[in-house]
Amino acid sequence: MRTQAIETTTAGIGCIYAVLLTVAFVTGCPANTSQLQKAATASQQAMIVVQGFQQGEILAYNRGKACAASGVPSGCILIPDEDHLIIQQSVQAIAEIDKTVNTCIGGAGTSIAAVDCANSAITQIQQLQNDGDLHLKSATAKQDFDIAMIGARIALSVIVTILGGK
Amino acid sequence: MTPIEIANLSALGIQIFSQIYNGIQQANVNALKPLLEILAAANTIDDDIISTAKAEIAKLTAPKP
Repeated sequence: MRTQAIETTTAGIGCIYAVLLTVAFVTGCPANTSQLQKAATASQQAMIVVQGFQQGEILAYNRGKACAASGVPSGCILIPDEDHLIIQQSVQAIAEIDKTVNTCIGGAGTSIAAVDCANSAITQIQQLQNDGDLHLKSATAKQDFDIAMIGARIALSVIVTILGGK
Repeated sequence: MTPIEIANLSALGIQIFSQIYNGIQQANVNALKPLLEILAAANTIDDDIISTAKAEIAKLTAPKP
């Protein structure tokens, strides 16, 4: 009788362990949300840099136009229409890339997936910077554009560092 | 163990399983909430940048009278 009770208890404990193991297997290890939060913040900061640049560039473009139209064009810093167009197209492309990064971070089951996405974004922004440098005519626009692109890439690089990528 | 004991133990196992599973799922949802809030804020900035850029591009590419 006592032996049967011990066997039943042992079987019960074994069953509970089996259940716990099954739960662990089915649910898997949760992603490190603290790291992903830092990565998401880095993505947000990258775009704060880009947005600041975008607003500054629009302001500079409008000021240059107004200055030139005032009839005293000497001393005006003019950003050509072509440059303004290239910059706004690049900025739009970067924001769309960043949305992909955000989706990737939100759905990342592993850090590796999020790192891959951040690295891809960094490469694409580098390419946009190279293209912009090739086509921008205004030295001022080119310089500001470079600073913003470097800022965005550095901010996104933080994601790779946080999540342990190389 | 009798068949009834085994059945009871299985029922208990299933109950424990679903309680633990639901607990983990809820914990995951709670843990993800701050992350999703940051991502939503980041996406809002992206959307602002995109709409501003589109407006500027539209001004430059609109047919001139």
